[in-house]
Amino acid sequence: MKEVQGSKKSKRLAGGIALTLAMSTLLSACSGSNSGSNAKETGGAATTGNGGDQPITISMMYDDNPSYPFNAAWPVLEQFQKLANVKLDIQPTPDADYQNKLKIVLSSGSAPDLVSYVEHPVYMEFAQTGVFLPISDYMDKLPNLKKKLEQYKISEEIDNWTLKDGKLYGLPFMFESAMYNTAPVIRVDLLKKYNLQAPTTMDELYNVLKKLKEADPKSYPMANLNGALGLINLSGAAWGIGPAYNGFVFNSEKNEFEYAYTSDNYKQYVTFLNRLMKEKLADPEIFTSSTDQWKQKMATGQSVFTYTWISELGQINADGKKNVTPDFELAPLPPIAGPGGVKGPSAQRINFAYVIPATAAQKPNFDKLLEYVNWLYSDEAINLGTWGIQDETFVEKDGKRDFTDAVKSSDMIQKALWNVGASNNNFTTVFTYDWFSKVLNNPLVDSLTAEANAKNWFPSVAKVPKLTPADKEEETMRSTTVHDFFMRSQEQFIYGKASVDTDWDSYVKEINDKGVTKLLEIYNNTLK
Amino acid sequence: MLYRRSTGFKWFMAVNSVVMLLLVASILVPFLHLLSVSFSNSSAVVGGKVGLWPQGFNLDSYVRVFQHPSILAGFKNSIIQTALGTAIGLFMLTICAYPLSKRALKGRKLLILFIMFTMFFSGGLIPTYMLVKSLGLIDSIWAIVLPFSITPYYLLLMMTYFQGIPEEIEESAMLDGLNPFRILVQIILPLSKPILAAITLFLVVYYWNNWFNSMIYLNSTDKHPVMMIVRNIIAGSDLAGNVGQVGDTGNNISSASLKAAAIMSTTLPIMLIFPFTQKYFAKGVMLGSVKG
Repeated sequence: MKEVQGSKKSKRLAGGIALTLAMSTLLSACSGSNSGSNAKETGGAATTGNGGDQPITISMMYDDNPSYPFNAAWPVLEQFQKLANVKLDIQPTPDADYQNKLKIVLSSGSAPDLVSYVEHPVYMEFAQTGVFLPISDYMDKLPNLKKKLEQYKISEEIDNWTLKDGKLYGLPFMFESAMYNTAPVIRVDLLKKYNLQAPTTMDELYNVLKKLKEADPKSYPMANLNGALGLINLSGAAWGIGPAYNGFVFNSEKNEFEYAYTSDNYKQYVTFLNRLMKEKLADPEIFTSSTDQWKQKMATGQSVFTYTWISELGQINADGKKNVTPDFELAPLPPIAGPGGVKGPSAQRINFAYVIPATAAQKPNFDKLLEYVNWLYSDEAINLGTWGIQDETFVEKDGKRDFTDAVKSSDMIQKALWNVGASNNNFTTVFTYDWFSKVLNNPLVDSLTAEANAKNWFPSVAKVPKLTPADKEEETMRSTTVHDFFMRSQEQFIYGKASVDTDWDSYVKEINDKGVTKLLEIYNNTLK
Repeated sequence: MLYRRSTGFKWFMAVNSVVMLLLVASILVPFLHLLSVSFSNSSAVVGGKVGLWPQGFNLDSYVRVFQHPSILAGFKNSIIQTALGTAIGLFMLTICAYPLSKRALKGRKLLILFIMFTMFFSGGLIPTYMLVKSLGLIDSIWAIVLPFSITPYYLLLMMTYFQGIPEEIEESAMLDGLNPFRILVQIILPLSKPILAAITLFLVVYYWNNWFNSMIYLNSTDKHPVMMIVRNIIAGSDLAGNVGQVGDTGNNISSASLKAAAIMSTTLPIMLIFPFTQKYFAKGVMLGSVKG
């Protein structure tokens, strides 16, 4: 009897589940009608346009930068679509979460026709898996790109984006040439006031900071933005510990990779910072300041020395003049020499790439997509993406370009360009030198760049080892552990929780055991 | 109430008041500071001169926030998402919690176990994304409001609340000829206002503040909620000299006051809802949990 009842009830339960299922199909059916329009969009090039002069639709993942929030009505965007005879279906994603969403979209195989702003680590991770179109296989259809690569002599860096199979999977976003746009900056008004020389070596830097601390005991003369890695990025070359790939540098004399963060140079680097910290010459929040906090420290005179982008100085100087003294002047210096020599900022010229998903090759409009991509590397497209619209934002005379007076007289050239949609990382493929220097509009950048090229201040770019998929997996597994341990120990050394004198050897041993030895083995094997 | 006259109790009250005041201050002070930053002149902000009172009062930051090309659409989308999400959520929670609150329901334990299971384990982001994609929901508001319409925690709260309503009431309603559906609508729901109000507030706050799902599932800017835009303003305006980028955040408005203005203009609407639900909320959430 009980059993019978039981089965009856379980039938009822089954009925209930069936009902729920029916309801959920109903619900998804409702929503299905609603999402009909977007199914088309994700179809992209495949569904619209059937050759001829009909513009094809290219769907594109777009990195939405808060400095110039995406605006579908930008004149430059309209020009792009008109000149290339395409319709861009742009999917803007906030910059803050861009790389995250990118990974999800790539992992689930739903990338649009064109993806902008793929950073090197993400590129390397996914290129291995074959989700990207091998661009190098289609070079014959991309003559403009080929020409630009040759013209810019950038093969060394292209090599870093080339995989073990010898193929290039991305469309590089390039700088025509390196620029001295980050520098050590110091308050020159204070140097003058206390009759000090601008530091040229790390020892001199220490002395200057010490003098400035004596002059204002409440201050912390050195500040920093973008954390511990930021500081290594900007000053590491002079210390001989950068530019590195995950901390590994290529020694061309010995023809092998070495781990920079167990080297003697690195030991000197942490010793130096520890000394600054101990004597209160460096901001205690040196690795944790947000950009706002950092700006505040610089503009209130609490800190007087930092490494930063020269383009930041205008604003800070303006704020400093109001808050501290009318003489307030932060100015860039030539590189401060360390054990690595007189070396400036990284001269890396490819920071990210566009990619096309491999599936695009099957779509009927694939040839048109390549045509569009090739056009992106033409002078016409590059000028449009950087200089903006002819006779509105720039004028061309005797082959030389310059901004119009309206643009030049605005508060900020960059902002005037953003307003029309130019100077946008997502539409342009090349930043030319003449353009970049006109935008920065700072004679010091030009003269320092010229000096940097003449005196060989730019370090060579970090070499990226070519890994097999299996090695790449091993690397991913190890490098996180190594990196975490490195970051922790660095902080301990600099803040004096561990001593360079007594704890160094155990640090080296432990980080080697944690994976550095294994990674070196993998990397050096790639050279054979 | 003799104990109220004892010295010990007076001491307790004194200490209690001080602690409470400190607690209130720790919440109120940062809020007021942010408010005054949002109205302050940018060089005063960078100069660290702004405390609880604006220095160099101006509205520039607000003007800039509202100049954002999609901020107004963002507010509209947020309101739609919140309204639709809360309505669907409440509906789903109610029709799910009510049957599950009946002890006589066979397989109830198993069903509850299924629901509890999702509190601790989820499919992960990428599988969920693929599911939503194959349901054809990408870039539609349904991707935001449907997959997350049942929150296990709220479901359990609601279930326990329903369980606390004496079954005799339902029995007599049944004798008067009501079917279970009408019992739910006419008897149970009117008795459950506190829990409904509390959960409504939870859901409203959740949908208003949630930018993550929209970031993942919505592709077109004109569908983005305002919180996503604000998040981009806050997280992004920091990266001044980011690679491949030339310039700084621009103009004479410090990013600090811009952020403050963005935060203020999006938090205030949701804060204004609270006073209206507060009378329910006070006796609210835990009501369901202890009834013998």
